[in-house]
Amino acid sequence: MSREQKRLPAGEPLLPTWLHEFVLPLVAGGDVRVSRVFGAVELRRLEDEAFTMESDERALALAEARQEVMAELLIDPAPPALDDEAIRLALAVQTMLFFGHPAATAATVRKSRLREVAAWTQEQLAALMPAEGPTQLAARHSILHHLFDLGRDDVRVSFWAGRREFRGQEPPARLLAWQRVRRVREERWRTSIVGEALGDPLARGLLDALLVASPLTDLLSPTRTEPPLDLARLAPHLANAAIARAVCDRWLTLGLGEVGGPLVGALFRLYDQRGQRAAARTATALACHLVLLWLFARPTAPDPVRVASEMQVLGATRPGLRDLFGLFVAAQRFDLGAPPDLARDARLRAPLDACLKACRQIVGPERITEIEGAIARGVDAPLKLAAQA
Amino acid sequence: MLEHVALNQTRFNTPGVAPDNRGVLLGKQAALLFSSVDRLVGFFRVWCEESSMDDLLAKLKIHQVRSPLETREHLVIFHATTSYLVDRAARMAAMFGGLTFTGSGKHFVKYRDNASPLGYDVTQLAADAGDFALYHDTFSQSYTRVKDVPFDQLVFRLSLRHLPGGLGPELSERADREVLWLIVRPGLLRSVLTYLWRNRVRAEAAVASTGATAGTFTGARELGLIRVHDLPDRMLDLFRQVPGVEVHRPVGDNCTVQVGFRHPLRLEACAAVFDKDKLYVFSGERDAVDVLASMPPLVPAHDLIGSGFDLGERPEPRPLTAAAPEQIQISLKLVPSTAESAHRRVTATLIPWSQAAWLKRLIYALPPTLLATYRVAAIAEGLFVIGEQGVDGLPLGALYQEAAPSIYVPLGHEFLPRVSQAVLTDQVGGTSGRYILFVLGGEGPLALEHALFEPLGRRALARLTAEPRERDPRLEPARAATPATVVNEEAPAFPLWGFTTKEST
Repeated sequence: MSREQKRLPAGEPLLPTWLHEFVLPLVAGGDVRVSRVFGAVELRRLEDEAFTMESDERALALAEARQEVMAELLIDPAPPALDDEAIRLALAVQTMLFFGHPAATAATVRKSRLREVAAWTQEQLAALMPAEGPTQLAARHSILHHLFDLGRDDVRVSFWAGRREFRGQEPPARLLAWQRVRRVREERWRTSIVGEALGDPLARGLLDALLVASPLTDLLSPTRTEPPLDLARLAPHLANAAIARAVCDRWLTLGLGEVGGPLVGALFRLYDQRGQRAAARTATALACHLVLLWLFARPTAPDPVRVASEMQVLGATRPGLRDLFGLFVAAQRFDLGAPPDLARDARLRAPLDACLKACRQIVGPERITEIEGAIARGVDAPLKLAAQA
Repeated sequence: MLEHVALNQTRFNTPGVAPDNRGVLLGKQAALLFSSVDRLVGFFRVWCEESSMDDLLAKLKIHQVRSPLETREHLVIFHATTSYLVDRAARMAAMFGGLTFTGSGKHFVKYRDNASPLGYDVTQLAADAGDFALYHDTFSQSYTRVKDVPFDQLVFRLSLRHLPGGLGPELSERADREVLWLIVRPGLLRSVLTYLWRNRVRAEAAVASTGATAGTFTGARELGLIRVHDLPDRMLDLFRQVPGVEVHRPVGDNCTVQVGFRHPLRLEACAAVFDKDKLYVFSGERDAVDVLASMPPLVPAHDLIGSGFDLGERPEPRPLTAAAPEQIQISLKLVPSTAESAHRRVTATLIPWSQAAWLKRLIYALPPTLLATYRVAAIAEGLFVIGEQGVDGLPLGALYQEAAPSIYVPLGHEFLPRVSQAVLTDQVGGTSGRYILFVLGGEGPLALEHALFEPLGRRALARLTAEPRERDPRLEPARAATPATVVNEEAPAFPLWGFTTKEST
């Protein structure tokens, strides 16, 4: 019997407990309990148990929770199966969370051992096949949709002789006893898991690997500071109408003012990359499509005067949004700004013209020219002098 | 010798003087020196005409003084409260050749004039014997006090002056003759009163005594006092010509001055001199002042006129007992009226229960603004609808009008006998908090409490009950956004013990 087999409870299935304590709270919300990492042996057991498990209550609850998440993105999705992809994604999250566990910094844990764990987990994520189709993207996202709002409640207990900090753990009662005599003071705060992972090279690597494995999770959180949005990798998925629709819905829900800055920044980074012509065109068209949706998706027909005043306010309060407006104007020269059939409807053309006019006033011709140059570099299309005429 | 007072000068040779707020040298007292009584009286006459004597009377002293040359002069000393008061007194005294001084005690220095606006100060005090030392720029002289002349004595000892002309300016106005006094000898009192009573002149009378004098053969004088109201001109002229009758006009509260005369001083300004409990009668013809110890109690004139009473004229009064009057009851009848005035605005209608369904249907056709003014009460006789602005929109039931506020009678009917609204309201026991309804053919009026009424729209509509519904499970509820929180559980001592990147061999 090997060492790792001694450590695992031999007769007891591993998957139900793991689902109950970790995966289901990770998807549906609640307390995500972390105490250890899984290696190859545990992964194999989990995959085997998932394959043979039938009508388990926890598995059904997890499938329903994932289906609810997917239903917000797709029309009538089927309950996703607990397949190898889902298990590996959840396992990778568990490993990333373990790097923030107090035990990871214990004297009994070597750094090299932790690097080994991280490398192996990234290998497992890299081994996943590229996601294809909205259903697979949504299924992967259903595991990771809490990734960016995952948090941990930390406690710091100060007393007369010193202080102790508990990360994701409750302090023992003995430490809180005799509060007045021992001058006990409690401080509680919530720590963002992603924010903490960005400061740890091992966890950062896992976070990047998770976002690569689940592009939709990456796309649906554009307002984060780090890691930056990589449209070169994500743009191919935006060509899918269902995914583009879900992404636009999410971005408009967040607000054009919030999304505009990070989106334009990602677009400019994309334009500087070589060989990303198709991605640049797709991403540019999606950004313009987002502006058009903001313009037309109203309960009543957009009033040109009101639209212009709204844009003036947004441009004044959100400097990053001005570049998006400028990009919207500049993209018109590359036939990426609006669908060709939009001009046929006079009711849509009038607000669009008012919007373009307001954009030019807000951004200014010099900045528009600069953006036109960037787009031309990105989409690899020379500026047409005839367009100016 | 005197020297001019400079601005901001603080040290003076004259004792008891100091600059006031304006810088004018002022002592505690001011002194006016008059060379004769006429000038003294003239000064007070002008003063009384311009202002009240109250400003001076507080500490006013009038001394008859004698100079070393044996000349008799009058020195008026009063409290110099302000330089404004002394300025006024100096101006008036100058009109009668009087000199003005200021100081305190014995030494008085010349008051300021145009040559020295801030006053004068003495260079050296005089050491002459005397009660007063006056320092003027032309002389410095001491005076000895001969006697004091009280101001009230000045008032009472001055003779009244005859006014030229008829009634004189004091009675030119009608208001001046509203109240006059007749001072008559006791023997003429009854005749004068009878004359006044016959001529219907309102009058009150009293007999007053001036009190006994110190003389052996002079007894107390009695005077008949008659206060008359609105004395006609002919009587005024008549009484002025009747010997023994004097017509007086009231001056102030307790002074009378004979008509046709005036006191040298303006008595209204000298009110402080007169005792409030006494009555002062200034007679010009007699050249005397009668002081009555107290205001005599005045009696209406007609009570003092006797017409002869006989105690045997009538028998003893007969005792009578009171009895309750016989009650007269007249029943009110509601009768049709042909008078045009009986047709008033229709403000209520009594809809029988048989027509209640019609009312309900009609309500849907009426505008809500009209319905808002209607109120309805359900009674045994039917639905009684009231509209303060009229119920013209409801052509149903028996129409009613208001015979009195809150009292309704059928349209075109009235009460016989016709009683006033107040009597009708009183007879039905009041309408506070209720309406009174007279129904044709009914035995008596109906009283409907205000609480019975409610808005017509609410009443007419049937109550709607909402049936509760539960959520249909076919539409699943939206996903609850539950945050995920990482909880680090207790890890083993060797947490990575057993981790392997290879599957078991």
